[in-house]
Amino acid sequence: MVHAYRLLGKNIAIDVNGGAVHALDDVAYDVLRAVIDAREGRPDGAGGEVGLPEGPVAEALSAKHGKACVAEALEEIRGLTADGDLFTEGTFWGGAPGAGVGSSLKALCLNVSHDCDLRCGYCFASAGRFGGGRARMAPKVAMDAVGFLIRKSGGRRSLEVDFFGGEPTLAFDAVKAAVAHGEAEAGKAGKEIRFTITTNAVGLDDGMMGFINGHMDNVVLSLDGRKEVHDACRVMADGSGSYDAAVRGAKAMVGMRGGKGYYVRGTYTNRNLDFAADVAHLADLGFERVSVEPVASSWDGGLELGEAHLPAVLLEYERLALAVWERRRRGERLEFFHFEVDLEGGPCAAKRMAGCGAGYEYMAVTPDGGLYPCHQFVGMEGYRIGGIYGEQDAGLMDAFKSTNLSTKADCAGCWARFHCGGGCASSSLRYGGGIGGTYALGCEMERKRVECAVWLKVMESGGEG
Amino acid sequence: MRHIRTVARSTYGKGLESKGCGECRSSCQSACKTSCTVGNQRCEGAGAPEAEAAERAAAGRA
Ligand code: SF4
Repeated sequence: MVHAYRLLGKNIAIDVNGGAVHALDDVAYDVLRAVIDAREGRPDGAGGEVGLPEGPVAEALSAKHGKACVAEALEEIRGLTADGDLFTEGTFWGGAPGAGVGSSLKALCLNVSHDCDLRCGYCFASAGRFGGGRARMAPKVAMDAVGFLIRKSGGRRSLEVDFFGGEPTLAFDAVKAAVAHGEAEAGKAGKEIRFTITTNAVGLDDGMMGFINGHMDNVVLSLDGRKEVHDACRVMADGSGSYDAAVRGAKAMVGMRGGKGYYVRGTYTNRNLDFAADVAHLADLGFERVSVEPVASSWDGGLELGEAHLPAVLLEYERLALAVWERRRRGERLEFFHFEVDLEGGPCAAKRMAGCGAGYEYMAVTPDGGLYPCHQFVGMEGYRIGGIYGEQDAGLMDAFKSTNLSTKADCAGCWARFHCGGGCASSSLRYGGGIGGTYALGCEMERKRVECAVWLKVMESGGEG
Repeated sequence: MRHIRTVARSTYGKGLESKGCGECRSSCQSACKTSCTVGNQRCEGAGAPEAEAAERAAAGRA
């Protein structure tokens, strides 16, 4: 399968099963489209002729571009196919991702605080309470969760723990205890744990920031963008906006990081479909690593994205890609998370097939030590995997493990599948009828983000000329 | 080639035999926490560009 598209003045082809990317002139683009059409209906990855059907299609191409040019472009397409960089057969497409090391536990999201100092309108954590009462994780539970991760990690060397919530700085004693325990125990087991924290940045004090900077591999700071956008959703308990405090905290934290990892992460809703302006605002504040994500939930009933918003959202991603490119061309550093596709050093096929690993390699832990497939499932009836102290529901874990790119019907025909990995299980459940479904709206956004990400790569590789 | 410029060659074949080493980052931990994507993760196993560079450097062959 080949995905050929035009975006922002460029003609681009992505070889779906191999990952190659090509920039084409208008002749090659038209010829490739005709070749793709001629192959239509064949099973994905089937070999066979790369050619143009005799008759009106070939004649029209020759009339438009000249016979010699069309023949030349066709030869180039055939050459790339022979070299394995176009129409790659889906050699691994039938198989499920691997067992062994790849299926043991790798990462935990520790919901150290089911409580929050903010009351964000779109929070899937429902003001930090996850459908239950407000709760904070005891340091002992946090330490035991890290011990559980090390024990269950099989042959894996690199493990991950993210402190999440609610707002994890409200349970900073648990954060510190887990880090100290993890640093001491992982080494003994021949492993390494990368710690990360996701915070609203409002309550960060010098002590916390020093600790985070010293021990965390990555810190994700929640900021939505322009003040009016941020303050419309991210409000304090008294209803006042949190923008000023959050920006102050985020700037101080990022100022400490030096070369260490961070992301400033925002959420866009149907109220700021012009979210490229929010990314620009965050960049203007001096943040170089930005992620802005579509709102995940509709708890609030009024902020969610629907079919009617899609054209604006897709167009906005294009605007954003252009804006990122223009900033980079001026010498500014700006990374937008979903445009950071790695074409050459990206993950292997097994990872692309397996996706996020929720429910077996990645799980969330609640303050009482309960286990859920991921942070988005916390509190959802029927989705409690068990606990770090008791048994785990092997059947439920298997259901997640055996739901992947190769079993999702919608993904089989999707050109973006090896960039996407099969989407989010929680969105699939909410909008696609089950974890084996897909979230159609999310898929449209994902495909556009991949198109934009690859377009940026084309531009950076000298695509201006 | 006159009409097509290759920006990146095919790479997905690697790691198939081993079924993945399991060392790369969990995608949802990176930044997003909502929209899963695997394409922007880096391969961190032995044989990955970074790992190879580190090995060369360690062996004094950088
Ligand atoms: S974009 Fe949707 S259909 Fe395509 S691979 Fe991802 S989840 Fe599957």
